[in-house]
Amino acid sequence: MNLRGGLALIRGQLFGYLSEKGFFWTLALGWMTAPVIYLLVWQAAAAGGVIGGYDRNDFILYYLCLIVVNQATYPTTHWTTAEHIHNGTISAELLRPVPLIYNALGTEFAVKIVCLPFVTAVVTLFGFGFQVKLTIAADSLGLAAAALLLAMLLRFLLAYAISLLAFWTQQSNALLQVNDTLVFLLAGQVAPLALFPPGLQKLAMQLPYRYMASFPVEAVLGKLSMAEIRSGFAVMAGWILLLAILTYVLTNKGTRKYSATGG
Amino acid sequence: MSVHIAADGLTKTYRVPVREAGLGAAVRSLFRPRFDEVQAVRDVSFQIERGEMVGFIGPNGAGKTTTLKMLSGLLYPTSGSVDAAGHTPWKRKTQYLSKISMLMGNRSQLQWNNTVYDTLYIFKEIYGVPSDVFKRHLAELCDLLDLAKLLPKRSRNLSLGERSKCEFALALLHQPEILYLDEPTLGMDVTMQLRLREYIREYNRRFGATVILTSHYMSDVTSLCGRVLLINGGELVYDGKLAKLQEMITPFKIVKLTLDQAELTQEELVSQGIEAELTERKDNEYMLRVKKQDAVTASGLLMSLYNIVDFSIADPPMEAVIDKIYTEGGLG
Repeated sequence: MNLRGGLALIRGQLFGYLSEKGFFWTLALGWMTAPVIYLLVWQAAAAGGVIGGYDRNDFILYYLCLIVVNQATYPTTHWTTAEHIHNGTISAELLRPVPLIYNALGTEFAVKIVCLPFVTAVVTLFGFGFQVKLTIAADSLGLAAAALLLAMLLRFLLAYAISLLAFWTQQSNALLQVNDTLVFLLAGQVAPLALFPPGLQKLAMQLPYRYMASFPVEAVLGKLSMAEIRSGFAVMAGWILLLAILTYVLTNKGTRKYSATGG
Repeated sequence: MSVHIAADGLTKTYRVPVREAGLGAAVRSLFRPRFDEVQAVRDVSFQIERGEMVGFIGPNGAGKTTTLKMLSGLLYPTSGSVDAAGHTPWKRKTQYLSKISMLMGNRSQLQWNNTVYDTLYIFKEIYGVPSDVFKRHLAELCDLLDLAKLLPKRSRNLSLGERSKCEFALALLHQPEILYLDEPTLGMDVTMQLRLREYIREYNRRFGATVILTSHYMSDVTSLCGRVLLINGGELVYDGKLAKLQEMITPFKIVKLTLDQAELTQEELVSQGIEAELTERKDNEYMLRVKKQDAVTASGLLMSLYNIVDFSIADPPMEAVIDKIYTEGGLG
């Protein structure tokens, strides 16, 4: 496993990213844009009453939490992993006595550590600006934290598995783009899932995307019954197991296929 | 000595997408892509003893780097087997990767946004190098490569030569028992090349490391490797001593002489019975090519017949030997 090596990679990436924090904070601001727009739209729409069980304060809280969760779960390395496979720079990583996935995990942890305090500070300022009332129950925090950790893993694994397709095809970037679009549409960014048409809502409950952002937010806001939380965790665990196996298989098969382009 | 690396029937075939030029061909390739099979390495077999330093030579595209990549575990072969330090490289076991280092002149292990010291420290942790050993190795590397002043610099701010030095330090930090060096002196000035060669030789002597080297600077190969593997068109065409290869390819000596006044022509050489070919002339300086078995007689005749100011006799430069092999496509 070489955990010592893995921790060293996180440390190394963290040092590098801290020196480039301005770039990552700008990137984080960019990632906030869409949720902030939808926040403004929905809080204005709900000014006159309740929509799908959400009042104005719920919408603001929902989107402020979503910004943090989206930031925490957004994987950044899938683009670079695919690019490194295409141009052959992944050779350097393959020669190190650590599993290939450690490099991506190290980068993910480092980016989160650099960006999350900044995003949390910005969200807190938004909260004051909108004079939001905190209606979060303490007992839902634990469940939401567990859901968030699994959401990070789930979103990372799906993007990473797609990026590994770069061992076979030049088109993996297009698939990554489709994946990001599906996350945007089905993870509760456009609107909370409670507002989706019944058919789409049913589909979203079975796909992995809802569990990457919306599920932890709904859990922390107390919008889910215990039965819904249990089934949500079960679906998440199933997807994580499936993607973990897929990632393992793709890594093994992909490195066999690798042609170490360009020297 | 024991066999450290054994390759048997190593073959690598790449499947490469191809299409003709033009829009029509581009559209057709969307529906019916065509592929060519390129045999980069064909049935290559060799054995390398522990502690040997072997040069892998051949023209561009001969299959040297592909072979090195299979030996290091980066590439799976199409067929054949390799046993390196008791491991099959492409299984990429941690134990094997911890024993080797592959330095690629055109690939970087440095982390651009980190300082050189931080990157070295990360490698220390990845390879599990104890702290006291790390300090000792780092001191040695600083001394050899004049690294101390580079340690606090970020990698992105280093010059090409400085980067090469740091790459070398990273490759040797964990004291690998097998070193795969692919163009290790690329971008280095002559002084640094000499120092690096000296260090590789010393590293090999002290730790008994096995070294496989490819380089387009023949002086890297001639100064370090007694044995060479010549690969051309993916096939191993020679495996043996460098000196023997030189003798096979260029069985002649180069005689250089400077005459006081007299004129020397090819006709005169023939008329004097000197078995030599006049290949170059600049003012009173002449270069002759003489068959090895005729070298002593020809030199004696030249000295007795002419008033010679300066005289030297040597083997042809290795570059000329290699050029002859590359341009003629093999050993003939």
